[in-house]
Amino acid sequence: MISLQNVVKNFGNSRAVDGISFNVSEGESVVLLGTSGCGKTTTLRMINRLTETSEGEIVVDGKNAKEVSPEQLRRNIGYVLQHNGLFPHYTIAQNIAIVPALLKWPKEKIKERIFELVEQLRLSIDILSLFPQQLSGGQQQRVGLARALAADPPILLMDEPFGALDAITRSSITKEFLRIEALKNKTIVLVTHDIREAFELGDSILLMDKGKIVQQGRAIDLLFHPKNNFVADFFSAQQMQLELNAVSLKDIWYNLPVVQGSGIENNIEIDENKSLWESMEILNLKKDTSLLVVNSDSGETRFARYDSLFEGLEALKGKSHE
Amino acid sequence: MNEAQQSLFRFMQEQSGKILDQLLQHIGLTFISLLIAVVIGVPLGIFIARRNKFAAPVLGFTGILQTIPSIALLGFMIPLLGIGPVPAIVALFLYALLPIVRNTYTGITGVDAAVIDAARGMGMSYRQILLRVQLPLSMPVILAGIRTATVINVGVATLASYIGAGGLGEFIFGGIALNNTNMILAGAIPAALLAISFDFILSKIQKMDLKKLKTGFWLLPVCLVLLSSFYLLPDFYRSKMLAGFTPEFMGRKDGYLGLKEVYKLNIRTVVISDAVMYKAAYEKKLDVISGYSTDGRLKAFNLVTLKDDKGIFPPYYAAPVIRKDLLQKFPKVESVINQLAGRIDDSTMTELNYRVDYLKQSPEKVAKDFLMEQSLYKPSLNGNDGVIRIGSKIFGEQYILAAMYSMLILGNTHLKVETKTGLGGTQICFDALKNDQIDMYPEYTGTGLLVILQTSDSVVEKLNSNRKAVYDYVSSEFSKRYNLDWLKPIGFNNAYALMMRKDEAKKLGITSVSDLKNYLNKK
Repeated sequence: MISLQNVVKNFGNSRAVDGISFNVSEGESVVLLGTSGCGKTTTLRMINRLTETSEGEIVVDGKNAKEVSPEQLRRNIGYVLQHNGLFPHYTIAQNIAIVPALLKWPKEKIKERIFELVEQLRLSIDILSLFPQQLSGGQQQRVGLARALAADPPILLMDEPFGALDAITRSSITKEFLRIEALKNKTIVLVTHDIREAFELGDSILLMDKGKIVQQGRAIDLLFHPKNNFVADFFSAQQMQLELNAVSLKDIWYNLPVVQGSGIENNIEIDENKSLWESMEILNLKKDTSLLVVNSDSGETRFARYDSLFEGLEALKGKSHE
Repeated sequence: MNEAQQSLFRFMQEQSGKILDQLLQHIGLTFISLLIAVVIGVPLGIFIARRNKFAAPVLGFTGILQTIPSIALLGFMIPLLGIGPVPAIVALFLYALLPIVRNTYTGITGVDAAVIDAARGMGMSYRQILLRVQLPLSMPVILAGIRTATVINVGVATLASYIGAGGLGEFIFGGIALNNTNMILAGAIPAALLAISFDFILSKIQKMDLKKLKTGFWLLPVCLVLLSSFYLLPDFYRSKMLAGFTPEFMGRKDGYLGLKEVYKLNIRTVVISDAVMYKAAYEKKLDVISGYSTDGRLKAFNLVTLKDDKGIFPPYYAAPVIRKDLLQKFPKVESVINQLAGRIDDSTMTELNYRVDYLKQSPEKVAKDFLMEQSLYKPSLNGNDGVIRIGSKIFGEQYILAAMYSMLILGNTHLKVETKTGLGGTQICFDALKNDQIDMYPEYTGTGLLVILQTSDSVVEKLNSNRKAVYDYVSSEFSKRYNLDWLKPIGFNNAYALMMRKDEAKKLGITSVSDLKNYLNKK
C-alpha cells in the first residue's frame, strides 16, 4: 500500500532522513518509534507530501506520490496531528465534514457519515454544534480522528496522535482506539516516542535513530532480539513491563499448566491473544488465582496463573538467548 | 455683537448646511481612501505573509510613510497631483496603509500553525486555506487594523482642507486663523464624534462572533463603498477661474466676505493652506489666490497683485509691539528699535522676503546685509545688563524683522537677546506677549485692529482704512487694554491682496479686483 525507497530529506546542510526504505502492506499498522529529532515525523510527512523528499521514491496505493497533485493525494490519506489542528471557527460537525466537502459529497451523505463516526467514536451528538475549544482534550482528539476518517480513506497517517493528552486519558483512548470499527482494515502509519503505545498499536515497529531505521520488526522481536546496544538500551528502562505487554498467552502456550479435573466452572475465560500484562491485571482485579485460556486452533484449554506466566516468560527469554 | 460672543449653538445652527456639506465631504474623503487602502493593503498583507522575505521591506516602507508629517505629505502631493480631493485621498490612503498591511500580516502569520498544517494535510489548496481558514481566523486582527486606519483618517482628513479638498478642517483651521472658538468647535466636535462613532461601530463588528463575521466580511466593503460615495466630487472643472483662499481669508470681512459684498465677486473657491497656495497658483492649479502684498513668493512665482480699487483691505503696516514695563526698565530700547522706522518700503520687504523664501538665504544673513547697507549694523557689545525676549510669527518676514531687532539691540545696548521665533500665529504671539513670555514682536495694524481687538464694524468703517487713523486707534487701545506700546511703523504695508499669474493678468488685461469681477461676469 505504501512503499518508501531510499528516501532522503535534507534541511539545508543537515540530513533529517537518511536513506529510509520500508513497505506497509494493506491493513497493516506500522509504528515509527524514536526519540525526538530522529526523523520519524519528517518521514511521515513525506508520505502525504507535506514535506517534499530530497531523494528517493514514495509509492502510495500503486502510484508514485510525485505524480499525483498533493491536494489529491492528501484527500485520500487521513491525517491526525498531535495538536489536533481543529478549525476553531468551525463547529464540530463542520470540522468533521471538511474532507467530504472538499470531495463534493452530497449534503445528505456527509450528514449520515458524521452520525456514523460520532457513534463509532463514542462522542455525543450534542457536541456537533459546539466549537472545538468547548470540548475536553480527549474529545478534541477523537474529533480529530473522526475528521481524518470522514471520507473513509484507505490510509491513515498519525503524528503523535495522543501526545497532547494526559497519561490516564491517553491509555484509555489507546485501548479504545484498537476497538474502533472504522479503523479496521486501515493501513496506518503512526509516529510516537512512547514505547508502550508503539507496542500496543503497531503490527510492526520501526525503531529510528539519526534519520535511519535501526531495526524493524514485531514488538517481541525488538525486545528479545535487539540488533545492537542502541535497541537494547532503548527498551532497558521499562524492560519487564514491556516484556509482559509484548508477550501474549499464545506465545507461552506450552508453559501453561494443562487443565485437569474439576474447578473449571468458576474460572474466567480469557482470549489467547491477551498479553501477560493484561492477564495479570485481570487476575489482580478478580482476586482469582487462575484464568482459563482457550486455544482457538485446537480448542484445548489451559490455566493461566501468576507463577506460570512468569515461568513462561523466563522460558521464552531463555530460548531466545540461546 | 462680534462673532466670538455668539453662542456655539447659534453658530452651528446658522452654518448647519455648511457643516453638513463638510461632514459628508469628510466622511467621503475618509472612506474613499480607506476603501483603496483595504483593497490594496489586505492583499499586500496576504502577499508578504506568504513571501516572508518581502515582509520587512514592505512594512518598513509603509512605516516610513507613516512618519512623514501629514502637512509635508500633502505638500509633496501638490506638484504631482495638484490640489483638491485627489492628492488628499492619495495622502490619506498612504496613512491608512500601514495599520492595514501590518495587521493583515500579523493576523495571517498568527494563525495557529497546527491548524494550517491540518488544513494542508486534509488536501486544501492554498486558496482554500486562505479563504476558509486564514482570513476568517485573522479577521478580528485585520478589522482592528482597519479600525485604527479609520480613526487616523478621520483625524488626518481635517488637514485635507489645506489643499482645497474640503472637509471639517475648513472650519477648524478657519477658526484657528480667525481666533473664532465657535468656528473651531463647529469643525472639531463633528470630527471627534465621527471618529468616536466609527470606532464604536467597528469595535462592534470586531466583537461579533466568528460566524456572523462571515457576513461582516462582505458587509464591510459594501459599507465602505456606500460611505465613500458621500464625497460628491465638487464640480472642479466647470467655470473658467478657480480661486484658492486661506481659511482665515475665507472668514474675514476684509477678505472673501468683503469681496462678495463690496465687489460682488462671484468665483469658485477652494480653501487652501498658505504654505502651498503660491506654488499651486504658479503651477496653474489655481488662478486667483489671496496673499500678502510683501510676500517674497510673489516675486519667486511670478505673480502680480490686483489693485484693491474699492479699498476693502485695511492697511497692515508693520510695527513692533512691546511691553511697557520693559521700556520703563530699559528706556534706551525704544530709540534703538525706532532706528528701523520708515526704512523698509513694500518693494524692499518683498525683495528681502524673496531672498529668504526663495533664494533660501538665512533670515540672519538677509537682516545683517540690510543693516550694513543702511549703516545701522554694529557688532555685538556682549553686554550683560538684562535680557530682552523677541518673538516672531512663523513666516519669513517676521524672522527677518526679529533678526534685525536682535542685531540692533545687541549692537547698541548692553542687553542680551533671547529670540522665540516661529510662534504659530497671531493669537499665540499675542498671548505670549500679554503673558510676559516675550517682550516684543512685530505686528500689523490691520491684524491688531480686527483679530486682536475684534473691533466692531461701525468703528472700522469710521477709520475708513486710513493708515494713520488705524495706527492711532490700535496704538491707544493696546495701551489702554493690554499695557502694550506700538512703536513707529517700519514703513511697508503687508496687506491682503488678490494675486494672479503675471502673464495671465496681462493677457486678460486684469489689473484690479474690479477688472477681475468684470471678466468673470462677462460670460
